[in-house]
Amino acid sequence: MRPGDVEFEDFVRARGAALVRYGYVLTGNAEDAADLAQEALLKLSDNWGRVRNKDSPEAYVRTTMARQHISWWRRRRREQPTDDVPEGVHHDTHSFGELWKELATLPRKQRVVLVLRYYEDLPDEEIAAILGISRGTVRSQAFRALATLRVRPAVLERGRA
Amino acid sequence: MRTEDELSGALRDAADRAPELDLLAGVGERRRRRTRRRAQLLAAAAVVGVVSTSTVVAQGVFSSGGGEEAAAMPTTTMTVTKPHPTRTVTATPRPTTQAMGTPISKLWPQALFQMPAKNADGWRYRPITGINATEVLLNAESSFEKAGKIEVYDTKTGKSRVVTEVTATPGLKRNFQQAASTDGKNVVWYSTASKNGTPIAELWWAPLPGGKAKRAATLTGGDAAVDAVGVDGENIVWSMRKGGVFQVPFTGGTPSRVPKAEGLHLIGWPWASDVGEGTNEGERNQSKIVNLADGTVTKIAIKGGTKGLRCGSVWCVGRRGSVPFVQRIDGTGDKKQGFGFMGLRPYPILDRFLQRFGGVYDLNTDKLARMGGSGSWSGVGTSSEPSTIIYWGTTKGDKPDKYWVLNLAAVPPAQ
Repeated sequence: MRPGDVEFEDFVRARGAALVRYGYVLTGNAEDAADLAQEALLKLSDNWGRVRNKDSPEAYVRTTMARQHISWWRRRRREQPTDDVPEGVHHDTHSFGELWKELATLPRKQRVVLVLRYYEDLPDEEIAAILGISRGTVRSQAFRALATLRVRPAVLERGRA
Repeated sequence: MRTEDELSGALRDAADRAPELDLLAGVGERRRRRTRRRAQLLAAAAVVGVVSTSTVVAQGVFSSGGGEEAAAMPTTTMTVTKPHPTRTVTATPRPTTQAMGTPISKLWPQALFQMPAKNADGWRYRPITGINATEVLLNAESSFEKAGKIEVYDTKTGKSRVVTEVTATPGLKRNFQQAASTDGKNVVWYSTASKNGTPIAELWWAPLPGGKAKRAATLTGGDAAVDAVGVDGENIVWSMRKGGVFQVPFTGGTPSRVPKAEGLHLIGWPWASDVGEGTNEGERNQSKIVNLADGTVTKIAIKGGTKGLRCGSVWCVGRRGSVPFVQRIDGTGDKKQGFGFMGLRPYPILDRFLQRFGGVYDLNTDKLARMGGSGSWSGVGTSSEPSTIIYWGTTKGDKPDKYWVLNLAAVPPAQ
């Protein structure tokens, strides 16, 4: 038993479901969501003492997951089908389902940028810091992704308005 | 053109369909795999008698960042090493078995079996709970979280049979089957949906030997916030998220309050607790356990500093500070635990077992059974009461052809 294990387990119990949801939105399928969340949590548990004292464990895991997802995809280059949207009974989710399917066609980095912007509600400045790219790149990635998805951007850059 | 709100809605909608995963077990398994790889690498280094390059290997192995990469590529590392004649490196892997207990296959072989992960239609099974020592209640899903059928798998025959089809009431949106329960004669479940923006919950049942699913009640608005469901032979029984237990006969009619159950939450018929599972309830201690069938109320002995106490009719689990512990409801059998517990419901399973990081703890025997999952995940049955089923893939990936299933209902008494 290592010190901090109980706290770590409590953290996973409390926040695990939210992290899986985040992983699912990032990756589009259950297997990669599990992979991503578990790898990030393993890393968190290795650094638990430091992260708990200095940073927010949740922010640490989420940042790890976003970065990991981009680099894994660079490395693995394998295509995973997006989980099917349940059909039939979810009439009102039809349009959401179409969008969800189209998200799978985006390059990973573009998808991650959209998830950070529209799921995590982060300003572009923070997205840039998390992904280690410039704010201009965040904006251009988001712009291209929105164009592909035929989403009309309300503002060109988020976080300044 | 679409709006940003639609995009945001699509992401949140998808997030709501994310699977339930046992992350702790997965992280534990990853850590064990990594430890094994490191131990293997060190053992290999010891055999070759590496010294000149051993520092390189050790750095690669133990630094938290690069270790994983280095350990994953032992052959590359080994080809550059040169045997040194005079000194050898010996490494003893950190013993983990002591803390991790006995493999399930040794401790409870009669409770562990394999079964197909898909039904005759090719739909994926999601186990609900063990009906008894040999039968497992299952959902078969035509697509993710769209339950199509309820089935029973029997380990005696190695075959499944269909109990009923789960039908959706026309006109409902976001219709999802939720938790189910069984008393060995019937299966009951509730589903949640919305109609014109109003939340709806439906209570359903079907005879376990097989038959058409019938809806016994529809709850709307605030009444639709159901948190647990059970069956007492003639009635579907459920509790509300805000507390209170209700019942309706299979034949339908007006739901009525179960007497003396105000503010209570169903654990599994006939047991009820005075704490729920809302976001602010986690720290609260359960103060009593109520048998709704005969009205018996038993107070629970709570010692100072206890938080989050959850009890069945015999055993409790809780925390003092951040240290998990177990006790009986009368306060005896108090024992600190070196690990935390998990599961979809915090109560002991069958009033005897607790699921933990990579294993199951038997409160009656103080033994720990270690899971030997081959994949990166394990699942817990979805029943309303704490499920007796823990399962994982026989092969890696989240879409295996077969599951390993541990049915705690098949563990003999006090073994």
